Amino acid sequence: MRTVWVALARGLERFNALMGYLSGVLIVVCAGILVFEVAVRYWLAWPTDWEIELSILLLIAATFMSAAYTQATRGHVGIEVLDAMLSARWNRRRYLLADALSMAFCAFVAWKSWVFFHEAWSDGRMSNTAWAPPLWPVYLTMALGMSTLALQLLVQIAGDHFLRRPELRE
Amino acid sequence: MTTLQIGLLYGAATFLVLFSGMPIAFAVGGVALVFMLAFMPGVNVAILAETIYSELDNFVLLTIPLFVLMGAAIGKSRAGTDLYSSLNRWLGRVPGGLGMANVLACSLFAAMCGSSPATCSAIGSAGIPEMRKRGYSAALASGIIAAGGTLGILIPPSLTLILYGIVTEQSIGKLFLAGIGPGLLLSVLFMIWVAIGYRRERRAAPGAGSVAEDAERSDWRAKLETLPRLAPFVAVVVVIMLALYGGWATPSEVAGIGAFACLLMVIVIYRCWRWSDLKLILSGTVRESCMVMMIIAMSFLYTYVMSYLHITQEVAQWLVSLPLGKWAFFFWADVLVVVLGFFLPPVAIILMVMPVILPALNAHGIDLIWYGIVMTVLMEMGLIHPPVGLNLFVISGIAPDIRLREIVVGTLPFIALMVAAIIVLAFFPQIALWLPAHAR
Repeated sequence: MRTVWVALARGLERFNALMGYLSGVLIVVCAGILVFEVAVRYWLAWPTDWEIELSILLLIAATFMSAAYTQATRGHVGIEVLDAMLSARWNRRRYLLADALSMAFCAFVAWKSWVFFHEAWSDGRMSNTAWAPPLWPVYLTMALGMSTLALQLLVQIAGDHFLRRPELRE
Repeated sequence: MTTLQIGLLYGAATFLVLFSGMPIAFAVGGVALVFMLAFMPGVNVAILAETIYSELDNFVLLTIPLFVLMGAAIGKSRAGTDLYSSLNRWLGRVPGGLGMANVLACSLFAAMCGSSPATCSAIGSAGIPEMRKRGYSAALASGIIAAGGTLGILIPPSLTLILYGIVTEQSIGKLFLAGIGPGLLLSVLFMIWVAIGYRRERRAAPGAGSVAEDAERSDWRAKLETLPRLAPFVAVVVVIMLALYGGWATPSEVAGIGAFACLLMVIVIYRCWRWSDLKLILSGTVRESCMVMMIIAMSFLYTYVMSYLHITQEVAQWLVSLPLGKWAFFFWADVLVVVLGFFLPPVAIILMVMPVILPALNAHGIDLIWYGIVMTVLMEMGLIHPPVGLNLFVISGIAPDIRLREIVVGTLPFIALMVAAIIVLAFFPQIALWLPAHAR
């Protein structure tokens, strides 16, 4: 049981790291698109219709897809004032509660995001612009990102509070 | 329940949950969700994902990852060290010149990135050990870097000014221009204090430090040699400023151009083209940008709930009806921002506070561009003030042997200087407003 869990947790962490780097690449691609957009508009006077919208979609995708990776490295900042004021034991309990609440919230948003994605997918919803790309791919990244974020929190709760095994700690 | 009761409950719940240690993004989002479930119709909960998505679907907001990429590219390369050591050669002869070089390097770096922690770590990782070797006390050295880093959100481009512009519907370009004068004012004030502090420490302990301050007195040749190394930075800053104010591109597009230019500079000039280098840049970028964007997305949800339940409107109305004069209101609004700044990062403060105080600011005829700058300086204080002070922790990270206590002692004089800068800005608003009024 334990080994299966460890394997799953490691797999998730690898997947999240991959998504994290991919998100970084998306941000770089987006910068490239904007340079292209300004250049062709300014020097070649071409009309630009898809560049800005595509870069918005890429950056939203990057934000959600890197959420779990950021959580894996505890990059989402919180207020740590009480750390120094409470005993180690109470801090552990407090963080267990905080992580559990975070997980519940992220899982809820993930659920609603899947519903959101499913509607856009089945209705074939398109963006309301001249370029009119389908919207489901970016909604999918939101649903996937929030789901892996919730799972990442679950793995961290288990690793930090119940299994107490070094390979599962951050 | 009355609106007032719900409002008080909302505030109390937020406070409690934030102190639980939950990440700020999930904490404010969670509170918003619980109040949605309790007090709002089910249809609002059903479209929760759509609400979050539509708040993020804003081109101006999404410049943030790009500006973060810009800072990360420069910050993770040797560029920060180069910038700082070149400036040091130019200022080496002035007493306290090394400290001044650090302040200047921070402000130049700030002109290429919009984030305070990024500025701190880029300049401080080389700057703090150098200053300590030359006899600067740990408190002074870390204070210089912590305070210098805060210039990151004042000197354009600035993440907080972008967000402020979105929330208050002010021109980002004008806000950026307005940040330049006060940014320079603060740099000069910081440098004056560095000179005074350095002299005082010298008198108290002459000959401290393992290397004498003027050990590497550089001649003109050595100074001129640094110019090619400074050139790329100047080029990037010039490209950004030209694109922004030459009318080629919107601030959002400038973010893309700047990020691309910085990454290219780092890859070509600093030869960071190996995957191991790029990996650091990419992971640094996504971690900071995702953290900030998540806080922004969830804070939007938070204010959406607040406004739906009429809490925002009630409190705003109450603030407008308070029998306070312009300056009394200004004072108390500032106190509120500073106190919140002790616990929350600037992006969350702007989103949560501005909708509430905006009507009152308008009613008192306070210039919103000017207030944006004042508010940014106020939030800078929170960055170098315990308990949350992000910059303090960055410095603990890069100089682990300096105790937090010493860093805090070192930052106190700089907090006083920021208060002084706000008073100066209140008497001479032109320092901020002259440039935006006269540009084009």
